[in-house]
Amino acid sequence: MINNIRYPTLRLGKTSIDLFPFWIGLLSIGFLFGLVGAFVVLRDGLDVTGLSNAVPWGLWISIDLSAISMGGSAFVFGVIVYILRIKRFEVIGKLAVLLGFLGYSTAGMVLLFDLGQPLRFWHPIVFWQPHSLLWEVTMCVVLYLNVLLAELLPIVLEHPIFKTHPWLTRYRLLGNLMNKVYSFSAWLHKAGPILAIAGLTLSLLHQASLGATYSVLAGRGIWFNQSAPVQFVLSAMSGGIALLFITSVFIFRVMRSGMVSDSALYDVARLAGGITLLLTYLRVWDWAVTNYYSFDREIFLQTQILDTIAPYSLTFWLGQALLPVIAGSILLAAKSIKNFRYLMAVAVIPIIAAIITRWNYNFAGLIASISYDPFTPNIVLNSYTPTWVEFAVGTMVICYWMLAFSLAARFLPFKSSHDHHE
Amino acid sequence: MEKDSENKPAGKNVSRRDLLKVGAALLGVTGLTQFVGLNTLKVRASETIDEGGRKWGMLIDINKCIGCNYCTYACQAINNLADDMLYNVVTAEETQSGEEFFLSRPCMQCAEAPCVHVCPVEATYYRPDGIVAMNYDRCIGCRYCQVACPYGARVFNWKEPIELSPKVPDFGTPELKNRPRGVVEKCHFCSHRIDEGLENGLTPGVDAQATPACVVVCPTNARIFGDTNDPQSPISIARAEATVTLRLREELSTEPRVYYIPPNPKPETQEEAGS
Amino acid sequence: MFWRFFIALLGLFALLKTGDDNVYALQPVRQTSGNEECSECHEKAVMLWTDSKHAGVPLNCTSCHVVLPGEGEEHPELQYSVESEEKTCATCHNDHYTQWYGGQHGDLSMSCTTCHEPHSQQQKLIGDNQTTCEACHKKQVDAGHGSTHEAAGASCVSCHIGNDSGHLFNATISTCNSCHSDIHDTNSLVLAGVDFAAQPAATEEPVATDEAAVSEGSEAGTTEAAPETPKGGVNLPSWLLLIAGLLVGGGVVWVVIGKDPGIPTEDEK
Repeated sequence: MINNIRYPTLRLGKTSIDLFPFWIGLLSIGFLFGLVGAFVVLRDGLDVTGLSNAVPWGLWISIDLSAISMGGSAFVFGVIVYILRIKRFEVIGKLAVLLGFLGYSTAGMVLLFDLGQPLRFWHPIVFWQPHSLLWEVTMCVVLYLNVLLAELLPIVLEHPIFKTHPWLTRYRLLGNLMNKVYSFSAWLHKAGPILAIAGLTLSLLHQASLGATYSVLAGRGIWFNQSAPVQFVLSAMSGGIALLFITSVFIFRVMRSGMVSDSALYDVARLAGGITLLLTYLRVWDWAVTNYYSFDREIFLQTQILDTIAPYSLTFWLGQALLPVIAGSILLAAKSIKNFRYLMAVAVIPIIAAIITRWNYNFAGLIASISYDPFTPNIVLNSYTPTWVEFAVGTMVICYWMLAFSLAARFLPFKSSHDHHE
Repeated sequence: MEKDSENKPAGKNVSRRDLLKVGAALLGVTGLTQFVGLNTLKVRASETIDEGGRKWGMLIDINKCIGCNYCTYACQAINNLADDMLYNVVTAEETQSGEEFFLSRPCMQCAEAPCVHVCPVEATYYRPDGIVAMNYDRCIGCRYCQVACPYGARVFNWKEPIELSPKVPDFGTPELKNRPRGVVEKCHFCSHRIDEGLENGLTPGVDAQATPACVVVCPTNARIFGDTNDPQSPISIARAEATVTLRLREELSTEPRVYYIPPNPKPETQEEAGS
Repeated sequence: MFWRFFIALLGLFALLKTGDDNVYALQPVRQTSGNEECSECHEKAVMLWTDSKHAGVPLNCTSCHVVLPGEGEEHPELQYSVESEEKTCATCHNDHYTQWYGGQHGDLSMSCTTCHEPHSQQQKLIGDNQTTCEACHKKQVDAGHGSTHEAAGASCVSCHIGNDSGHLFNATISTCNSCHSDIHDTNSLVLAGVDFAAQPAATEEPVATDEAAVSEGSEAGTTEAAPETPKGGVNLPSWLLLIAGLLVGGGVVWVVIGKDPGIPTEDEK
């Protein structure tokens, strides 16, 4: 089956060039450029960023939230594959685990730079503060990253190089070690359902808590609502599954044709579409509650001032309301459309919507904050201009994501258990 | 789909066992969440019960404040702060009727501080005397507390700490070690002065050495400091004398320990301060 | 084995855990006797003193700080006081003392040390009287910026303290007369260095020949040029729009003229 992998090539007359090395090279350049920014920020501190006391969270937090939402398919497909035991999604489930791991490790990476004291990243694990939502998010993300690692290890070990490499026979210690790893991996594979349950619990907990991180802050009225946790969970699911659809078409239809049936891929698209529509329905009510039914003067003022800042109001109506409705409807009708080009293009929208949701949510309360003046409280309009360092580190983590994904797409076998037995 | 269901019979036993496993895992996770929940409640209860002993508070008479910024300068000198890192801020504000007044804002030292609730590592905590203090060795610099604070009272140490504040020596000399880059700093009611003073038998709020620098330096004595639980303390007496006091953003239930005497509608006091 | 390692790890973390409430607290400043002896610890205060006008007159630390009664033998146990202004400042500067406390400043219970750093006796806030006044009298100082008086090198104290260095801070006719003794003699202003032709530009950069006027004029220029208030919101660079446009455009082109990715599986045919 591995022999049949078709790689993206560039045809020039009779010769066809494998694009893979060039693509990896391009990403490596981006990664190295980002490393320069990372070095600068670790040396000079967060002063090199455009953050300020008024807007202490910026581009990196948005990337972090978005990366975590891009891993949203892992827990859904963990449940589908290990608990509901729907076999035709098994291979797609493996890809979902990979996406989950990439999303969470990316988030962890960018968070490290966002800390004022990066060397103290382990403090939340040792110094517990169970009141704090951020503590809960940190613990859940760390635990879930371990769960994802445990789920990913058997998938990575499927690669024949870990069985057939000459070093394994030449160095006996290495061979013995590899055997140990294999038995551990087999044990992990058996524990799949438990890992899936743990993954589901941890994921739901922290995806919701990421929304709650903002929505408990009474001091910034516009964040103080109750639907944010649900919004975050649902948008992570819709965006994550849409990403899973695009990537699985690429890996299982273009590169490894015949591995997954088209109908299974359509089902993935339909799942993403359904959740997108559900999310948009919820968001319309959320908008109504905060804007129409709310008589809170502060929230009213904040929404008013945010609506005057063009990108916010435009991105909300276009990116969070109108386009997702269209995209969700089209994805839901995947079986009737039967055109992967259209479906893939449309599946980009829930991904962008998930990113825009986090972007808007992160900045809404920071850009328009309420003053503490006792008699005439007004809205303070803050500004934030990200610097090149922030873009560089952002580029670095995105390049890391793409680099790891490209390597996995080319080298991981994504065997189904069907192949194992035969 | 049909193919898969054909494969099923062989694995039927396994799936029942899996179901048991799943059930056990679910129970375990539920139990864990319960444990965490109970723990959280327990800690909260113990915090709110602790009402005995001293609780430091501050009263700021807006009528007396002339907006000279001396409180800010003294704070800078004592804590060795650069000009862009202010624990204490004085701003010009207006009442509904358009009268100008100066609002000076230290940390409110809230009894229900949002910053303490959100800190993921317990780097900021309530001292038994009500002061919201920082453990600068523990802070990871995530800035969640800054986002949470409704008063903007927290400042992040974006740069390397300065050697000597520009307000030294005019307004005092640094009494504290510099905080490292990358932690969030805040006003602590000069807790080092309070602690030292109590050790030496002084009364914070009465003896200058044991009182926050901003209170001592205030040229018009607009700031009054003391133990809110002690009816004989300067702040309790002043609060009893004042007809009306207010706290900032009281609707958020943060229960600040900094009280304000709102500006009187009399125009003469304003004129006096201005001329 | 694993658990032992785990417990050892926890122990390690417990060791790493540091931080009492007041690791950052130092001793509060205390005073001591005899200038040389004092300077061993209170270097800064003594240095300010020796550079001050008071260093020339027979005064030392103990003039203002005296030992307080208490338990112990010497200074670190016994504390030094800060004597009241009545006992210290007023001994020599009685006229200023009575003037100050007879005026509006004193009514607001402001003291000598509100404006003067006690060890150097300099005015607080970089020793510039204008800045010292400005802390409270911001409107008046702002109104003075760009004025003819400022261009002529006059500052707050030129009028409000006057020749007798009074501490009532009332401007009297005598202070006016010190410059405008002959009110019709405009020549005195020209002699003072005022370039009348350049007056319109005086708000930006006052033309002045006087040294004092130059230093004050440049400061006025910086305060006058208020920084442009930045527009709120998240300001993203324009190249991001270019990248987004390229991606969207490429995607649309692909959707319109591209072909379906991959090979259809058998069950679909």
